[in-house]
Amino acid sequence: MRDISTLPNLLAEIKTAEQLAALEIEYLGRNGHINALARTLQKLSPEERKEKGAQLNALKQDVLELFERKKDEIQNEQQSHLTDFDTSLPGIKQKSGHLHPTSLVVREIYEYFTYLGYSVYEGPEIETEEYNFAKLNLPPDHPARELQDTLYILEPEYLLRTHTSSVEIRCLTQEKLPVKIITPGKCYRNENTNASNNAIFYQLEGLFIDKGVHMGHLKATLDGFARFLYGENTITRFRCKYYPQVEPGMGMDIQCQLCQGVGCAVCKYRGWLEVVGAGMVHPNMLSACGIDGEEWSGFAFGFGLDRLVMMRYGITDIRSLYNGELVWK
Amino acid sequence: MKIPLHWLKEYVDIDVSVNELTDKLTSIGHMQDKKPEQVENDTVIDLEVRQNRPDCLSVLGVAREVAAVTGKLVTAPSAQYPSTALRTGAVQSTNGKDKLHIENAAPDLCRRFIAYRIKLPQRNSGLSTPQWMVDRLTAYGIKVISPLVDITNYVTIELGEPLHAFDMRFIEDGEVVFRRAHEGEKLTILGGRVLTLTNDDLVVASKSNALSLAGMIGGADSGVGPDTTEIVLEAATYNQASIRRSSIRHSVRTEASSRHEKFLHPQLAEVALGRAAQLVLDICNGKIVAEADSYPKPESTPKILLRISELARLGGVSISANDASGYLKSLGFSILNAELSALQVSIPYWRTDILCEADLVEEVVRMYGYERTPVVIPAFAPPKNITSYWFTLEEEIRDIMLAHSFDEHITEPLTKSDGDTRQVVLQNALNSQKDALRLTLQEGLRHALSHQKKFGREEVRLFELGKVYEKADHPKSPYTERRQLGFILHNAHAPTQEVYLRAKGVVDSLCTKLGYTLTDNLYQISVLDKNSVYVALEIERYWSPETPRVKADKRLYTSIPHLHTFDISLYLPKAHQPGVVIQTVKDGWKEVENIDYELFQPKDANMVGLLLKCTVSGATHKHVLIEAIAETLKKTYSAIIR
Repeated sequence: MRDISTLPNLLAEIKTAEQLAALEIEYLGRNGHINALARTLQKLSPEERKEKGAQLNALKQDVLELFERKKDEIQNEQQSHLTDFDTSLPGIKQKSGHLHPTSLVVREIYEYFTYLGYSVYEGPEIETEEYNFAKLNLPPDHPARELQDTLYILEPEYLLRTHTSSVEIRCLTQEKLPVKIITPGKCYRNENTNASNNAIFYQLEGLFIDKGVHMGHLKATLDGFARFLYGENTITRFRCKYYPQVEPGMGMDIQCQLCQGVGCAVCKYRGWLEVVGAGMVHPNMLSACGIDGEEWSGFAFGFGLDRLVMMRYGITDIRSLYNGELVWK
Repeated sequence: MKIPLHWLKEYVDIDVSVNELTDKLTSIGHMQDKKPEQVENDTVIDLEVRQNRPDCLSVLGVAREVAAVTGKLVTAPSAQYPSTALRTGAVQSTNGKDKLHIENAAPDLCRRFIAYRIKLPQRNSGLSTPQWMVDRLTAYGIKVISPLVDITNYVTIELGEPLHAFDMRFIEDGEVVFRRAHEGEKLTILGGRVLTLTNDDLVVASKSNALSLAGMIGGADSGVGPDTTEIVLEAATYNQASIRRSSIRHSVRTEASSRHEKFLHPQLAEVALGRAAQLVLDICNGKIVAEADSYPKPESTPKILLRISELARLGGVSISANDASGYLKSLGFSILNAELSALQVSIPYWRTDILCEADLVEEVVRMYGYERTPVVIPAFAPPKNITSYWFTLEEEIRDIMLAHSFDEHITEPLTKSDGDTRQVVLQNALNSQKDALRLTLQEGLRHALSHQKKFGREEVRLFELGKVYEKADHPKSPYTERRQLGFILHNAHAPTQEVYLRAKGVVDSLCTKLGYTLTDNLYQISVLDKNSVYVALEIERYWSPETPRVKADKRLYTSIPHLHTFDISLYLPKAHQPGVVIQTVKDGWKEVENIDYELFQPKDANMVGLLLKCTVSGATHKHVLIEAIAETLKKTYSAIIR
C-alpha cells in the first residue's frame, strides 16, 4: 500500500486534468487506496474499527480536499489560457435597427398620455367632408375647406384628411362616453413643398370628454405635458385663441428656451413659442355627434409633430423626414 | 393686422408700454405677429389675424379690445351721417335730376348695398389729403393717392368696412347694378390686369359695363381720377364665401377682399359709409345729392342668454354675474337683463363671431384672464381602454423588425398617377408628381435603398409600416386603405438566393414571434436586382383581431424536453424541390422542431444531394423516426437514402 503522505508530491507533478483523473481513481476509485484501507478495517475488533474508522474518514476528507484543490488549480490554469489572444480588439458589432424619428416622438408622447389613461385611437386617411369638416363646426363655406388647402379625391365628398380631428369625430360617433384619446397620424394639405412645408405632415390631437371637464383640467394636462416634453423647468403661458372646433379656445406657449423669453429669431422676437392649440370642444361639434353638451363637456388639443421631431433630431428640411433619405449613423 | 399706435390713440387712451400692450392683447386672443416697427414718428404693432374677428381688421376694433383690457373707454369717430332715411334702409332714389338707383340682381350674394352720390366743388386733383391722414395711412403701409381714394382706404382700415368710389361719369343715368358677371366677361382691374370672369364672380356695373370686381378691387377705368368732380361712394355686405372663391380664382388679394371674405354685419356698411361721407364733406367740401340703399332682408343682432354656472362648468372658474356683466359691457355688449344666475346679453353688430353661449363664456374668461383661471389636476375614473388594435400590432411589429436590424422609414403616400385603374387619383393636386395615392410601399423604400447605396452602404435593411390605397367597388366606400408592412433586404456581397431566403426567414421569424401561422398569401417577395429583394406583407388582410394567434411569450416550457439531433442524407431526383421535401418532413412529424439542411451535387447529374439535420424534442426512438421519414421520402419522392 502506498503511503498517503506522498500524495501532495504526486499532485504537484500533475499537469493535466486527465492525469489527475487517473490519480484520483488510484486513490478514491472502487479499488483505490482508500477503499483498500477500508477493507482492512473489517478484520479489526469493533472498538478498534470505530477508532480506525474515524481516522480513515478524516484521511479520506483530507484526500478529497487535496484533489479538489488540485482540480481548481488546473481549471484556473486552463481558464487563464482561454484569453490567450488580443482582448484589446474591438467587440464584434451586434446590429439592431432604428425607429423613424417620428415614431420615436410618438412613443415618447404616448408614454405621457397613457400614464394619464388616454387610449390611442385611429381613423381613415381618406375621409368624407362630413367627418373632416361638417361635424367639426366647419360649415360648407368655412375658409378651412378651401380647395386650395384640401386635397380632394372627389370634390366635395371625398378628400384626404386635413387634420386628425376627423378621428375625434370617429371616436365620438362610435364609442361610449366618457372617452380619453390621442390620435397620432398622417394628414395632408395641397401645397407645393419647400423646406418648411410638406403635403404630408403628422399631427397628434387629444380629446377628453366626461361630465364636468373644464379649462382648469385642460391647463393642468397641457402644463404637465409641456414639462414632460420640454423639461421640468419649462415655463408655460395660456392665452385665448381661435379654432373653429373649440369654444372657449386656448393656445399654450412655452417660453423660448433659446433666449429665455427675451426675444430672438427663433421665437420671432415674441419670447414665446406656440406649441399646442386647444380648447373646450365646441357645442356644435358635440351635438353633431349626438352628444348632449349640457350633460357632457370636454377638451381637445392638437399640434403638429414634424416641427417637434425636427427640433429633437436637428433636421432642418421637413422634406427629408418622409422622402426616404434619413440614414442613421 | 398692422396697428399704428398714434392712430389707435385717436379712439382710446393708452398709458401702458408697447410691450405691456402687446402682452395684454396676446393674452386676450390677439397674438403679436411680427415685432413692433418704427415708421417715421410712429410705432406700428402687428397682430395675428383671427379668422373669426373681422372687427379686429380695423383700428377701431382693436381699440375696443384695448379699452376693455386696460379699463378705458373707447371713443368712436363721430359722423352726422348716415341719414335717418338710410338708417331705416328704405331709400332708393332721390332728387329728380341727380338720380341714384341700385339694382341688386343677386340679392342672395349681397345682403346690402348702400351708396351716396356726392358732388365736389372742384376737380379731385385740386384737393389735398390732410397731413394727419397721410401720416396714418403711411404708417399702416398704404400709399397716398388722392383725397377721395385716401378717404375710402382710411375708413376701410379705421372701421374694417371696405368702400369704393366710382367716377359718376361711368355710371349712366345714376343706375348702379350689382350682378353676377357674364361667363367670359372681361374686366381690367386697377394695376392693368385683365380678368376673364365667370358666372360665379360678382361685379358692380353700370347699365352697360362691369365697373369693379365686387368687394375686391376696382376697375382700372371707372375709379376716381384727377378730373373727377362727382362720385358714387358705396359700401356693401356680400356673401363672404363667394368673395373668397373669387379672390382665389383670380389670385386677387386686397385689403377689401380680406375683410369681405369674413362675416361683416350689414349695419357696418351704413356706419362706414356715413363716416366716409362725413370725411368727403369735411375734406373735399362735397355735397350729397342722392342716396340709395338696397337691404332686402334687414338683419338683427342676436340676443344670447349667459348662465353664470357655465363659466364654472366650461371655464373652471367662479366669476360673479356682476363681474361677468362688467367684462361684457367693457367690450361693448349690452346687458338686457341681469340676474344672479344669468345675463341676457345683446350682441353689438360688429361682433359677428358671437353666436352661442360658449362664445360668451370665452368673452368673460378671456377678460378675466386665461392666466388667472385655476389649474385643476383631472381626477376622473379612467375611461375604458379603446386603443386601436392596429396601433398595438404595429408597435409589436416595429420592435421585431428592429430586433432583426431593420431601420424604419416613413415615406410619402403621395405618388405620381400611372394610369393604373385601381389607383386613387387626386382631383386638385398642385404638384403633378404627387397626384395619386400609392398602391404599394415599394416605391418609397426603393428610393430609400438607392439613396443608401449611393452613399456606399453594402448591407441595407429597411422597413415601413404604412397604408396603401385602392379604389373599391363598395357603394358605401368607393375607396379603401389598408395597412401593409414592406421591407427591403440588400446585401452587396450575397447571392440572390441567399438574400431571398433571408427575407423569407424574416417573414417566418416575424410570424413566429407574433404567433401567427405563416401562409403563402400573407406575403409576396419580389427580387429587385441580384442583391436586393422587396417583401410586402398584407397585415391588415390577414392579421385581423380575429386571426388565431399564439404569442411567442406564451410558448414556454415548464419541463424542458431534451433535444436530439440526427442527419438524413439522401439523393433526390431533380424533378422534386428540396424545399418541398423539407416541408413534408415538417408537416408530417410535429416532434421535429427544426430542420437545417445542406445541398450538394452527387455524381449523378439528375439528382440533388440533400442533407437534413433534424432536431427533435422529447423522448424519441430516433431510429424508428429516421426509418419512418426515410420510408416516406423514398415512396413520395423516389429519394435514395444514403
